Amino acid sequence: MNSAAFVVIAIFTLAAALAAATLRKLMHAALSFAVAFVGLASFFFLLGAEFVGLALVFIYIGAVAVLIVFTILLTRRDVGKDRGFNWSGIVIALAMFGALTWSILKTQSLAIVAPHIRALTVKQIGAALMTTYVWPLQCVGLLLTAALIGALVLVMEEKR
Amino acid sequence: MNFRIVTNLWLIPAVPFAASLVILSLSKARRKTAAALAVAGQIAALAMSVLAFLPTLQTNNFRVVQNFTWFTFGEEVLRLGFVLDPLAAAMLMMIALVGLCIFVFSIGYMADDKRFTRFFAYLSFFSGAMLGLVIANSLLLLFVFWELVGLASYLLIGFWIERPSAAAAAKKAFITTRIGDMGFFLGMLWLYNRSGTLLFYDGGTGCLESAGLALLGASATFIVLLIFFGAVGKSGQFPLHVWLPDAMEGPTPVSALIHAATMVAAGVFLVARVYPLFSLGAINGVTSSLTVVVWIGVTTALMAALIAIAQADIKRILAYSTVSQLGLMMVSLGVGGVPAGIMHLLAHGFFKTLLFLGAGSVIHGCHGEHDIRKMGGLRRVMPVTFFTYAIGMMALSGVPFFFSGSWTKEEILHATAHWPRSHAPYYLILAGIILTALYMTRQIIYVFFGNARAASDRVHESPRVMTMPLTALALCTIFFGVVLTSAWPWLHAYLTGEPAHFEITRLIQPMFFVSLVLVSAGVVLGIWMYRKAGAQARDRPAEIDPLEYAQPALFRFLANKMWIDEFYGRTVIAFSWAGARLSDWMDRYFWDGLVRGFGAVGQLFAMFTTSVDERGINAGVDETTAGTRGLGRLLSTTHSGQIQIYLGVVAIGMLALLLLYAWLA
Amino acid sequence: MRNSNLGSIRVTRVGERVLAVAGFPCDFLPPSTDEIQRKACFGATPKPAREVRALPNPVRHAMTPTLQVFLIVSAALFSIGLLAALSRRHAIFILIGIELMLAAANLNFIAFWRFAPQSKQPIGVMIAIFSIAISAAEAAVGLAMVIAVYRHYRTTNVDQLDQLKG
Repeated sequence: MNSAAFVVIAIFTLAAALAAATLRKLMHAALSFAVAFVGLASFFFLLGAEFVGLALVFIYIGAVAVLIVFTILLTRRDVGKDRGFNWSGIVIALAMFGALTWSILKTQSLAIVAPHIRALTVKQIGAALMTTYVWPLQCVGLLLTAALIGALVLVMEEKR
Repeated sequence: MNFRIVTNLWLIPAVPFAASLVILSLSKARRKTAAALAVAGQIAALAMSVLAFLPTLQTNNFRVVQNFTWFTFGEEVLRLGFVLDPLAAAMLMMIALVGLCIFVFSIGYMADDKRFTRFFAYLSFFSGAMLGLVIANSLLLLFVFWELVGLASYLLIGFWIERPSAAAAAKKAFITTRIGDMGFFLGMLWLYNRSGTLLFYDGGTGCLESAGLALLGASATFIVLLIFFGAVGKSGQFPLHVWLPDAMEGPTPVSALIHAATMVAAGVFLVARVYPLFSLGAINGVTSSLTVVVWIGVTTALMAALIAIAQADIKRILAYSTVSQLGLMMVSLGVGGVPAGIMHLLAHGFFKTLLFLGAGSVIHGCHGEHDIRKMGGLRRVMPVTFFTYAIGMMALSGVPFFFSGSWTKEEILHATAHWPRSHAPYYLILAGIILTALYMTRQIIYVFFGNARAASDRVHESPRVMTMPLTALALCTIFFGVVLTSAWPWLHAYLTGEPAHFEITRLIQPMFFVSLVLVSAGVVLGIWMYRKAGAQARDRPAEIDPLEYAQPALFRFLANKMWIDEFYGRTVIAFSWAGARLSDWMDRYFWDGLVRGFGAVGQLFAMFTTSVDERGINAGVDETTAGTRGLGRLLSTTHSGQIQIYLGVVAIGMLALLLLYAWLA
Repeated sequence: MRNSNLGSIRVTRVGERVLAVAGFPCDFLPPSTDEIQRKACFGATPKPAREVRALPNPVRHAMTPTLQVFLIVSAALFSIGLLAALSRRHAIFILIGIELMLAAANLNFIAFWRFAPQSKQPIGVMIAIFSIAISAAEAAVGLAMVIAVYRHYRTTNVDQLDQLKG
């Protein structure tokens, strides 16, 4: 695990995430959102979870970001109005960051370096998904189907 | 210094890419900065290409490979790399040089366009991707760049997005080439499955080296045909050629750079690059995959040359000519004349760019008119354009001795004549050469000779910034021939890795007379057929073509591009429409019926539970709700309905928990 | 509040550590490190080698990021998501914020998996995969709701939506 890579990715990810949270134009924010997930996926690569990293790229950049862009386009007439900014949110977010950081640093057992482990292959993940985790997998499939139908029902034009 | 560029080849595509990114971030008004950046990036790429080219001259069979690990996926290691060999170096030089001429030309041609900066960003992006394509040492990396040039092509064909025809052409180009790329991708997967590597050269274990090739066995033919399908799409070969003429909707510099000189030649380059796969297990230089290449090439070359005769749009004629020449290159590769094919590719890059830029200059002068029947007599008002265009035309037709095109065509004829399997391609190509001379003569006569017609009013010669690249390219076209002559076949030797020596007695080969006769036949036929073409008075702009007069049915067949677009519309596209309608119907009636059936079962069950609910449970609950309602009324005053406030309260709650944890720990 | 001093000292220490490694030679940049005409053949290519495995040297060991650093990055990501969800008026920003918070959680799962001693099943990775799937479902439904709300009220600003008001 390379520190230089870590620093670069961390700065990249956090900057993109901050841009996604604060940029005024919705479209720019959505694009920064996608960029932030590129950074996050590189973190996963750095941590040796290549499969999850690739899944993140496919799902978030390939699907969720595109979905967000579509939603922006579908609700376009409203985009100009986004001027409001609630400053109390900054206070709460900063307090949250401070408290989390403090408690992380306070916990001695977390100051460890990565042990060395065998590389995780897709084969292992597939085997685990099909054996130990087969029921959760089915449940997630059901959930995704339900979400898909629900989303369709929500956006369907009402018949009059 | 040379050593460093050889080991840092990635810099060559990186510089135009960087220029493209910087230009994209500029505001629309910074036109001069954008153009300067793009040209500077291209000059840097050219300089680095020259630096990379020089060491390849020093030794025969020069090849430097640098491979690196892209990423590891569990136990799998995916490696990419760059390679520098004579093939890559020659392509680098051609792309960078032609690209530079086109960048400079575009400054003049696009001067009035409102998205000037965007145009240069796309051009630089394309240039970077194309330079990367030729130095890739991995089929995967090549594919990545291959798709990037496809993307650049899509963006640039549809550059004038306001025109519906441009948007449609961009879509057509993208989808048609994607069909080919699907084959390429499948071939790549298959290759990886068999050989376990996609690197071309890897110290003896690459997929083009003996150890890698040995793993392939009989599947090589199918793999390579799938990969060739990608090349068919990209290089506009039959049956996927339909996108290339439509791609002329883009700005003319784009047509010159992407759809004449570089990107469409990528298919030919790909075949040359993976040639060891094609010739695996060859008997006497013939394999079944190479035979397919030959016949596709011959079909394309003849068909496109025939169609070109009956077109009226100056750029479409050149587009069909490009398709035809690419077919010729494919034939040359298929019959084993790899150096001849690549030499023709390089020479074609120069003179076809020259022709396209000349056409751009003519269109610019005629205020956007594309129809050659409405031009005429331009040789007096546009002398520089006329002379350079004539040079390009003679090089393309293969007028012997002075122009680069003739030497390479001779080589191709030579290679084709000695193909052991059949002589038919040779004779068909001879016919193709006559046709080439014929349609180019027709075009020159219509545009530059005869009386001035409708579009010839207020025509002016183009500005210096446009004529300068024309002159430079014309000089390239002539002097490039020096390294191609049969007396001193330096380029041939460079590509095959043999020493070249000078021998004046070899200057005149038998093929020289063959091509002389053919070209003269074509030109004379053209002059005879179109002798009256320009003579009509200027008030009859769209006169009847002499060929249409003599053979109306044939002319209509050719002018409508042999009805291939219509054929696809009736078959492939209609078929996918039918599939879409079928699944729509299935969705509406079949699946919907199933869902309704399930719904009815659920409804029955619901009816049952309702009755239980109403009679048994409700009575008890009613009492409880009365109490809850009173409490709820009390609590509801704290509800503002603003979810963000709710969320904030949740966050504060979590903060409180954290503080509690900190306090206790 | 006897701990607060200690905490702040820790922050500086970690900060220094991160800064100190910023000048570390980058070996993730592609080609310059590879030599010409590599002779390694494919079958015998050295295993992918995570850096940790290749570096038993204790000095370099201290340079590699610890679990804490990952958790802090994840905390920062979470806070940024919270900021977006709390402060922006536009419903899509709230969704983006929620996605960022979920992503921070995923980063935590993966980091804990990587730093914990190896178990038989890659539990952290599995949870992250399921969590990604669930958050994708959440995004789909959430965005559909944004569109539905927009159809009804012609706005996507949440401060104008107070139908829940009691």
